[in-house]
Amino acid sequence: MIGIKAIASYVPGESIDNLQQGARFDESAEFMRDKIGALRLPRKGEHEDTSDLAVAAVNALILKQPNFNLASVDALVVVTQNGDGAGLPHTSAIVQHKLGLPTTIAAFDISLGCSGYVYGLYVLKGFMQATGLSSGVLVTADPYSKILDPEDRVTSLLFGDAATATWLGTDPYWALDHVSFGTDGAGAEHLRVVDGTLQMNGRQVFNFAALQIAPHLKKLLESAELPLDQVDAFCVHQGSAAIVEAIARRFPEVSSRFVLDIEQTGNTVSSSIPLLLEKRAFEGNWNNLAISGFGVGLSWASALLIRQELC
Amino acid sequence: MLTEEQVKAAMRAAGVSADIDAIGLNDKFSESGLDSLDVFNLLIELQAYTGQQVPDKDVPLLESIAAIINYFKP
Repeated sequence: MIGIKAIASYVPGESIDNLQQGARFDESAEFMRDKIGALRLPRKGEHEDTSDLAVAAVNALILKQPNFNLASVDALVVVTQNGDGAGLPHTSAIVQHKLGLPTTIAAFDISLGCSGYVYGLYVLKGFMQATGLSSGVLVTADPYSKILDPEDRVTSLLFGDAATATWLGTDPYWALDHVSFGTDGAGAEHLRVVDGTLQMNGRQVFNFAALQIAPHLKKLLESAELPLDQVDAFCVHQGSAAIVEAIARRFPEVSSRFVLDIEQTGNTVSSSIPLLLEKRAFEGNWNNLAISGFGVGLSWASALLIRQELC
Repeated sequence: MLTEEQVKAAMRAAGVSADIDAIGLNDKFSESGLDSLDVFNLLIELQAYTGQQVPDKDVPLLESIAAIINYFKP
């Protein structure tokens, strides 16, 4: 069975003081803390590109997991919509070369935003199972600083740069269980890049997250026949503190189980869920986890992760 | 037709953190401790309650309880 064996990350050291940035837009410290949630927004270095963030995340995985061996990797997937250069060639090929991975590996990108981690887990799992591969790496690296207008109040207060690397293989710590997907291109215009700059209809994206994700998660749990109180934690995409709160409020019985950890990173797009999991999911306290990613597309995906015996 | 109490109940359901009881009928939300995200949450509740959708262009008009009651008149 293919599942998650380990997760590591890279968060750039450079950052923006988001309280100061909020003050520039006349936003109060209370609003920034309680609604945006991010006090610091990491920024990649001037000479770092998306592939460099990805390489740093995989190198962190090497340091963290002595059993993880680059030479044994046979599949590499990079989730990004802001790859190196103009996105051609695919960033995963650049990462393969920079890491010195075998040329025998399969490497491809997945073009998804904040739903990309959940999609990526199941795409890579299915690919590995279909082809008999045993060691895969799923990288998320989508530095929105490349497309942000610093003068745009709607987007510039939200997004931080980060990358993660998730090792998928046999004898996993977390099994990938029930999953459900969704797409509504009618909302594509609410979050898109125009002339190289990210544009967002904040209200429509907020409404989408607040109204779509709670019933999606509930339906997933029903299909898995897993009662709400048996979910130890809900790790949903950290769009903003207000978005996480708006979803959690629709689960009054277990709202305290929704994890919010956005203060030092902001919204890191497809990296936000693995950042949560890296910090909390390998300490032995959780057995059943619900994850949900949602955003650009509009696209969303929710899944259940079930802890396995220690590998 | 919505009442002042119904709008305030929607504020509570929306998780508005301001002192809801202290907000007068004509007080502007921006001066009563509500921010833009509070208003988004409030409109989600009111849309669900009334079945009436509020287009983005109308959101700036809904700056007080009185304005909301007037807007959602049948």
